[in-house]
Amino acid sequence: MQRILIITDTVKTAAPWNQELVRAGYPVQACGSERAELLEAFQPRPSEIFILDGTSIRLTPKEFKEFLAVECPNHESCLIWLITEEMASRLDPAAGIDDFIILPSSAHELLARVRLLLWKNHRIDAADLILAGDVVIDQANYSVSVEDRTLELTFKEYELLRFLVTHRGRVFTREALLNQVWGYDYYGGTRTVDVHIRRIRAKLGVEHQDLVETIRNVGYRFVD
Amino acid sequence: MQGNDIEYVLKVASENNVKFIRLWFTDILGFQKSVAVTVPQLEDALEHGVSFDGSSIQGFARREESDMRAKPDPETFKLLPWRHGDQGSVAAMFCDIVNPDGTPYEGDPRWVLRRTLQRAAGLGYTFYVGPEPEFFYFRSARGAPETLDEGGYFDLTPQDVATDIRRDTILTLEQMGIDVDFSHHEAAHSQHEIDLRYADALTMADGLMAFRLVVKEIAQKYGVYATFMPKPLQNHNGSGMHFNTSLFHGSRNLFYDGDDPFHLSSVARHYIAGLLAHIQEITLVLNQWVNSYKRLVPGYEAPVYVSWALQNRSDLVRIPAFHQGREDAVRVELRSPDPACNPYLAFACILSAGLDGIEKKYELRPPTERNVAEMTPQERAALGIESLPEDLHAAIQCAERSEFLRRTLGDHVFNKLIENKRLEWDRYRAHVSHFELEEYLPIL
Repeated sequence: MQRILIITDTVKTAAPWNQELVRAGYPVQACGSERAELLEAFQPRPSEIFILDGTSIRLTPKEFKEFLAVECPNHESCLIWLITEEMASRLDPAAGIDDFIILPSSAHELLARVRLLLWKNHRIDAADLILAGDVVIDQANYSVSVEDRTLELTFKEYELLRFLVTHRGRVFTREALLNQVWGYDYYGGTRTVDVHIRRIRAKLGVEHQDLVETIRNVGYRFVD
Repeated sequence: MQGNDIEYVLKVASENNVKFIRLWFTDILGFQKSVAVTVPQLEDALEHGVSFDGSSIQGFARREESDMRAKPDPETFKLLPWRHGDQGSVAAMFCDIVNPDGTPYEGDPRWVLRRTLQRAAGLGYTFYVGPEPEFFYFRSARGAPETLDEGGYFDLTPQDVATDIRRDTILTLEQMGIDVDFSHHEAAHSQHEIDLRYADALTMADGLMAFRLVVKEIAQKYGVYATFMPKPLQNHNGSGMHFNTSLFHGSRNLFYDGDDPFHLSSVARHYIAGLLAHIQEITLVLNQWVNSYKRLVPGYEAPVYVSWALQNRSDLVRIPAFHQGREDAVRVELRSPDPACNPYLAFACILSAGLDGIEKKYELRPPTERNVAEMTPQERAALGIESLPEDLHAAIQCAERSEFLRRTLGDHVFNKLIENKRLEWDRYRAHVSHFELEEYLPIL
């Protein structure tokens, strides 16, 4: 499941939303906007979805994205900005956000927005299933099947395949995959990625191993 | 926040009807220790660790500081293929040992390696190791060793009755995510080698611990005994464990330099120089038993002198031949370690020696072009080629004077190791051997 980080200084805002997202199965975390708090919340890997409460903190989406780009280069994520009606009237479409919600709002709306984003960006449906041809990833149960055959994957193999499938068609370098799946402090090195790709291909089987394509001198991609 | 990885482990455990999870850790001598938990206890174990009395573990705490916790690393979760049946399965995870306050325990070999890997990571380096462990199959662990065959190097004949055992072993290893590159019958009777595919050093150290267990478990299934004892048969080759090592920055092999006649970069040269400079101090770790030194004698392919060479297979450090297009495979092979070492401490020592060489820019002397073993002592001295410690006592003496080794292992492990090895040596030197009775009793 995609991990969500709510950045807010108002505990009251976070609590009900937190509950709703957790009930829907998402691992959720909340933190303030201080540098140290953010850095700690990025451990061991930053979340895939950020919800930035613009009504309680000064940090702008642009500043946040810049901070993230410096601390965790090339990290793939989306950002939902919580704003007031007044802020919406002068919203900059180039601010680096994927969506916004005008407060006051409900936890249901937030969940719906998150799901819409996941569908738009990653083709993840409401049941947390990801369909990519013969490959089906069931995020709620951490399982992957190919033509109804369940694959026995290790956690890292699962996470790596899931990342490639949710970003299908895009090429990622070994470094980017390492950062995304293993985290920025991992000292295992990029050849680890090759080893995992080899195992994933073997488990996908002869007919499907080409779904994970090697792009020479660049990296890997999941073929759409 | 509970990590996805913990949830994943819980899910796999329940789907596979896991009854017990063995939590593995290692004492300073490299013996694997295990605490078992049941699935209902697993979640708590993953989050908080499992406490145990460290005073009963070799090289761990004194009695007054004995409350420690083994914290399983969810990434290392594996099902044990040989314990998979209708009655449920057994899984295992490697653990980090932590103090009651959650800080890493300084006596934990996995921590010693992690700390050294962090030092390398600080310089932008990743350390990869591909080991070549050798071992023997005997009919039993007791009495005079009895071999299963009289086969020799690469033999594939009906004599190689161990082929089935080896195949079963390799399949089991692969099921556990430990990749095998190559395996064959070794030079001595009943001796085998299974080369593991390179991995980062922490994964490989865990992998070697699992490897030794798998080799022994599968042998037992076939009613034979597998041993990693360095020199079980007096007139045959002993068992070594060569390590193929390399340093990478991202996807770039830092040991490769296309402009160098040997394809070796200056990083590689300083690294080798570091290994040669510190090898005598770390031999106690790489060859930690009285018996280890029975292998490191002239005449059996095992290295005896502190030398490096490009192709020659008897030197301490060897650079395997370069093949065009295989820049990634340029590596430094260290040939002295034996398979009865503690892999965590061994990797930490090797890496640390190499890093010292790189940081302090140690000069590397030219490679030897002749067989070092065939040189006279004067010729070796003229080239500045020293010997490895000749026995455990000499190794202890090199180690205990070494500030380098103390820094690498940390005070705790350093002191415990020296203390333990002194006791072993004292017991050995008081022992009256078969050799003495045979040689002296009839004539003196």
